[in-house]
Amino acid sequence: MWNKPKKEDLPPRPAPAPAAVPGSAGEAIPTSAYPSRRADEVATRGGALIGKSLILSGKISGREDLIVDGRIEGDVDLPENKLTVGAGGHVQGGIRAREVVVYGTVHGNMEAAEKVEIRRNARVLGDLRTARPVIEEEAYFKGNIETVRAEHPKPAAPRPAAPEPAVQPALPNAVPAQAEARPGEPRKG
Amino acid sequence: MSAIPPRAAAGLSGAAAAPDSRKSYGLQALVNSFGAGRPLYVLDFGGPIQDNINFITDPVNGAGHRLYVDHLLHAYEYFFSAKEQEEAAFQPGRIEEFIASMLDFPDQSADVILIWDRLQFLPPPVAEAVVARLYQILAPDSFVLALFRTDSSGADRAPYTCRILDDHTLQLREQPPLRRIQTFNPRTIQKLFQSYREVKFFVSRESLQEVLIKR
Repeated sequence: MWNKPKKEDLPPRPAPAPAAVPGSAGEAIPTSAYPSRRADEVATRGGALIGKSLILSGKISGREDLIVDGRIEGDVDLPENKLTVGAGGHVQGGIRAREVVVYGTVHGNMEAAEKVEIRRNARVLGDLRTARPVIEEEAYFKGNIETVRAEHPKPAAPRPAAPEPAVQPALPNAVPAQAEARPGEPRKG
Repeated sequence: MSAIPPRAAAGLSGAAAAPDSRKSYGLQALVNSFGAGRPLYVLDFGGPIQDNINFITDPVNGAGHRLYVDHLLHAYEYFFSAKEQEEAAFQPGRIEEFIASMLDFPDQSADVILIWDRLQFLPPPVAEAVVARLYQILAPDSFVLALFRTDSSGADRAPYTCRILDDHTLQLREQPPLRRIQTFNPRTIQKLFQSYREVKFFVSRESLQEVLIKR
């Protein structure tokens, strides 16, 4: 009924992942204890990693996800991306991002269009302004919370209908536009 | 609070059925005391609880107010040394320092203060100083919601985690560790809030006194 694949069709299961890091519930974001996995994650997602021995002073801005295991003294501005402050990470400054997840320490105000998650054992002193504030009970949080309506992107204006060509060109290998990227499938190219 | 969340107004049956939940006449009176209107500034000193954050701040399913969150007992334990806490003896000026760091708000800026059962776990001089400062922070005609356990017989108790399930239902769960608890009765509660305009008592289950105090 649900097109469940037969057992023999399934690919072999990967080796079990290492146990979740204590203190991180749900999705287990690895800490520096698993540097290879963290590096893999960064490579896969096209983000950047500030390692645990790094200390940065000054403003950081950009258009890629960032994982902070070290220390940042300054503002972080990633309006379209996700910032993860790892269990050993520390940000001393304001944060603006699409999404923020904190396992470590943040001293500063946070603004995120989508959500801010403060996980257990995290420590945050500052104000939150986001569409979805999520704070686990064993986290330390002190500050103001303002929940704002989620900003949905405006629907694209309808395009004027293109005049149909009189004769369809014969392109047997062409991929129909709708089939280029089906939901759930990675876009090719 | 100005707007009752739709799920609360609908009388969420699941809320009443949740374990450790109880009808809260104090919370109900607090919610009813505010008509629809401007967004309020709510201070919650019970620590971050996701349900409370949603109930108070969510602009669609909650009341859409602005919320300040801190945990009064954690702040107290962080500020005062173990010796000070054990002996409940404070050098002159220490309590004032704590109040200045913990309750650094403009005067008359808050509309609602949720202090829950936290005052009962503070030494009397600290609790009195907190209550006096809250009076200054609250806008006129604003409210404090507090809980007191009237059966406390000197034995250590765990403070409650107070979760708002809807506009008249609270879920209270004791959250270890155990702490020294001060004994209160209606008379001592009246005395603690003597500078306030009105102190209203609501009896709840298990010798729990809900108190709504009007500034």
